[in-house]
Amino acid sequence: MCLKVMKSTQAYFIKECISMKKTLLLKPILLFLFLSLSFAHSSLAENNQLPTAWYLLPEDSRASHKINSLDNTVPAPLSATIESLYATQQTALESISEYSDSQKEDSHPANWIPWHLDSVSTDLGVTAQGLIGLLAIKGTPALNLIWRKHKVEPIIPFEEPSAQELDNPGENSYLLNDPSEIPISAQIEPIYRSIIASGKINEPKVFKENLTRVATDLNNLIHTIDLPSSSSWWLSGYRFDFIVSASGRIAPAWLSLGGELRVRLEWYFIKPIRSGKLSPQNTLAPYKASLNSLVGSIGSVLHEADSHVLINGSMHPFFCRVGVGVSAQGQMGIAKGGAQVIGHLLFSKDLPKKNATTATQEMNEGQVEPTTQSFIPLIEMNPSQDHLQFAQRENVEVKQYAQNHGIKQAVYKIPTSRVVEGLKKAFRIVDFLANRPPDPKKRWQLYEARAAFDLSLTGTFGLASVSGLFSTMLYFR
Amino acid sequence: MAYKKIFTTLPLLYLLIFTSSCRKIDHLIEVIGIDKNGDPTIIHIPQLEYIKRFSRTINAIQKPSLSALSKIHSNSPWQLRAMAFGIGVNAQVGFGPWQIGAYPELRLIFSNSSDSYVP
Repeated sequence: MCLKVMKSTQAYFIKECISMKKTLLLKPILLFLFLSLSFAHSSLAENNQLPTAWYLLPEDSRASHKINSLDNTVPAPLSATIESLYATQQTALESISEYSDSQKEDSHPANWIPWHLDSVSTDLGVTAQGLIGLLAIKGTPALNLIWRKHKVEPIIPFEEPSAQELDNPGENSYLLNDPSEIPISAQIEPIYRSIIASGKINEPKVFKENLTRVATDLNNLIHTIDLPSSSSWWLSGYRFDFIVSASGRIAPAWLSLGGELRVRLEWYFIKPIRSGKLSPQNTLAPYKASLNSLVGSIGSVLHEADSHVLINGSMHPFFCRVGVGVSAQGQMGIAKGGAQVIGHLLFSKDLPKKNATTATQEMNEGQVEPTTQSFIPLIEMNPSQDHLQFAQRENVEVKQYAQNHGIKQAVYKIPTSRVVEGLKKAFRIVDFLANRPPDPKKRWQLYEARAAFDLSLTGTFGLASVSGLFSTMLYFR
Repeated sequence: MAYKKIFTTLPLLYLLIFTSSCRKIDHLIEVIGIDKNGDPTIIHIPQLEYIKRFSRTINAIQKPSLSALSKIHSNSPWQLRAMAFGIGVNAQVGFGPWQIGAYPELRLIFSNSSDSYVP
């Protein structure tokens, strides 16, 4: 409204001045002003949307699902918008005051430093129209940016433990990288106590036995997973949800028990786990082959995509979190949309030391073992007819299953080569949106970026929109 | 004569107003808010206003938080090493009927370690 009034006022004055023929010299100035104003205003209204293929999945739109080159598809106003968002954020962070008033005491650990504001995390979102901005409403962030101050030195220099020390821990110390080194019963004790405290379990003894068994079986199952030895990505953690009934029974979340309580078992590893043998009594044994295959395939495609994509900025992919679903037949796959996620698989990659390798060098190192499975299952609950028909047109094999309560399920078999291409695109999107050269003069630097994606049944990835769901998160650092 | 002066100075005055308005236009940032239909949409807010509220919010949280954290003493083998705060930067944006409350959300992570984990 305001702009309209200004424009009409301007037009009126131009008309008046010209008609008077008294201000001939002003004519070019006024013309310049008029054009400048139009350009200035139109730059706001100009198309600064993300390219459609970045956020709309092909099955949900008429958009082309081809993997577009980012160089050809990024509109100039979009770059300006993103630069402006980063510049604003950087300026805002630089204006924060610094406080620190704690003193070191004898009880503090060796690497203790005074309490300080270490990181600030902000979210960027994408609307259904593909517009990007600071997220100021409840919704799914497409990009979570973590800013951190320059490294704060500890008061007393902390020496990293050597590899020998890590392999031979002292008598009273535990290594948390391998849960098997701490008794499962000790690990689950806090979970057991908190659930019993809810008062919803009638048989605490039965519940404790079952919880111990499930945690033991899950740990044992995960320790039998093999990743391709050439993959630079390794399984660094997992989390799975279980349902607890009042009688103390526990079952995986995908098997309905009618229970009210859910328990999440989650572990992280600080180095790759060693492959072990499956216990004959393991109740989760039927899922071994499927889980092993899924982990192997995801590890391979991550490595292949990562090895063959050129990252321009200083941050590189180092972590990936994948939402997992399970079919009625017990096949595990990536959950579409995140709605039916029953657990997560976490993959990590060791980042090279700064300046040790360049992206170009990494591109030439892409020697990957053949993927053990030629497809990655994508599991969707209650698929629409449009999706099923789209899969048929795209020659994506799909199997449909009927579950209880009229729920239908589709398992799409996505060729791994397509997922590799999709991941490359996802890496390039994060690279474009989040990777910025660090400015050593600034106190605050962008430390990490976490981008949320959903997987299409064509294998391409789309950034999550504000009202959308996602199954995969890519972390750059 | 006065009539002529008005019409020669008014465009110049307008030039001044226009220049200042252009500066403001160049310093707006995109924020995702809700339109009148309840759908997520882009709203432009002044950059300086955002920066001012951002730093004011963080500074307001920072000092009392650090003061409280420094008073935590424990003989337990478990030590508190990091704490995360989720807060919103309250900002009224827009004009007239389109005026809405926008709350860009922030998470502040306080730590007493040089290598803290960001959850």
